Amino acid sequence: MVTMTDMGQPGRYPLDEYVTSIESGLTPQPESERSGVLSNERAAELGERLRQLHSARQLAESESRDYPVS
Amino acid sequence: MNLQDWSYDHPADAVDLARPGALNSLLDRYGGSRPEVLTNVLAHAYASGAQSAVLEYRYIDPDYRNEHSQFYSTTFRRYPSVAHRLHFFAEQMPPSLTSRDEPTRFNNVGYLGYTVLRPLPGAPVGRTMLAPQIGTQPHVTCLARDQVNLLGEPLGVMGTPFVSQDAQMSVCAHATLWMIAYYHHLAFGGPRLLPGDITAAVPDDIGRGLPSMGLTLYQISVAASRLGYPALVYGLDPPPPGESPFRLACRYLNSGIPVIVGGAEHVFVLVGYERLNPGQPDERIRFIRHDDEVGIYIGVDNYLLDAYAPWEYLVIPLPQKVYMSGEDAEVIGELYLRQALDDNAAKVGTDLRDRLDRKPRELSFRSTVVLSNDFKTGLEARQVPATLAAVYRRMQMSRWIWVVEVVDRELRRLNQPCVLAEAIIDATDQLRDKHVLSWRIPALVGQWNPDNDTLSHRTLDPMPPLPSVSRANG
Repeated sequence: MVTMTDMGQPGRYPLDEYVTSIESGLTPQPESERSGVLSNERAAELGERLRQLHSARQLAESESRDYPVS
Repeated sequence: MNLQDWSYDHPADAVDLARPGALNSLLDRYGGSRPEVLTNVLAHAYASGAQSAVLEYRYIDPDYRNEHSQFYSTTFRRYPSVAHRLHFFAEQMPPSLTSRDEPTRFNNVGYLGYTVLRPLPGAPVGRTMLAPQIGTQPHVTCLARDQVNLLGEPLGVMGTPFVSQDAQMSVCAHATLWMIAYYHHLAFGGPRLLPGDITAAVPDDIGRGLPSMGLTLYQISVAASRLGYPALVYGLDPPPPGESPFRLACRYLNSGIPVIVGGAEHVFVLVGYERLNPGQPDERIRFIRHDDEVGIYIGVDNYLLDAYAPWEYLVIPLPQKVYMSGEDAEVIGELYLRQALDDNAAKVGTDLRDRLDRKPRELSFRSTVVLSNDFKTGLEARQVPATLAAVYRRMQMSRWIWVVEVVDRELRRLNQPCVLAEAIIDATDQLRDKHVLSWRIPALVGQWNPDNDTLSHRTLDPMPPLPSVSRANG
């Protein structure tokens, strides 16, 4: 029978003995095979497309500032 | 509207809407000096098949009571502090409704929703929650469930909240913000905000706050942020590069997030859309809107010819934890999916990669922001194969995720499962260190772990196209 005194003793009941892992179901990719990482070209394209979108939104926020509605 | 007669000595009246003249009698009593919006609401109820109604008296509506305490109690002219509420039903009321010996029951009488009637002759239509008509319902993407209690009986309705402006405490901008706040409250558990909260959130450095003569988009945007819904603003003349008003608006409507449109110095709310003549040369989008000056679920067949054309701005209040815009997510998702297809061509083939670039376009990208818990719990209903569902359900995700899907346009047109691949993006992610949390292409699913910058993957059996996470139909 476990008593409160037993429970307070470090290492006496290691949790590892009581658990079963729930795995992600995925396998780590080796560093040499990293797929799904953007190439330099695609990273540059992404940066440029986002820059254009952000610029357009900033402009809209600025131009809409005084647009009245009622 | 005779406000001396606003109080009744009984709690409610049943109204037989099937009798000729019933509509006019309601308009006579409640239409006031501006009956247009009430006419629209009643016409909608009739078109939805309403056969009967219950008028609930001495209804303490939190929104109107708040307007009363903040404004209408301060005027020389007197206004009652209670409202009436009109509930609509698809069937005739059972005879037991008027029995003095039994509690009232509304079983099997088809609850269609309600409209609060304010004792304001210039703006009688208060908080309104009516279900869309059956033909429109599949295209209204911003639907939430509201629950009421009528004479002790709980009743529920799926709809998009509506309120008309009173041109005193609220103009179109306030009414629009209220509709969005009440919708987010019902749909996503946001705070229950009252008209006074919205008035208080508006910056008062331009013009008088109360009564209000109108707001600017800047004031709307700031108020939305202060209310907990930071807004994105898009200009439509011209739209951002590679974008169109349809693409911008539909991304959020797909997600069940209402979109404010500014045009002709007025704002209104888009609550859904329908793709007309899909796949045909004259394919176009029919938007569905709530307009606080006109009414509910109004179709806009051609936005270029709309009464408020040209539409000049879109303002999209977002949940606090959606930091990333839809168009940003879509670009990120598209490039990561293209990269994954390139990197794994030997394993998964080049068919999808080739189809992405084929002209005329066979495939398109569709982006939807969803709560990750809803995404996970919805996997089974979307018939996602168990191996993929197992991976997604165990994957740790941000509260909100953008799901960028590769969609087969022809299958979408046929209303069939049409998603061939998808990327999942953290809606709070860092734009200077862009990643996807996960990507799925035919036969392979990959995951990026943001804590240790590692990648993992799993091969999948071939699977058919999957249903989209989008709320849009087609």
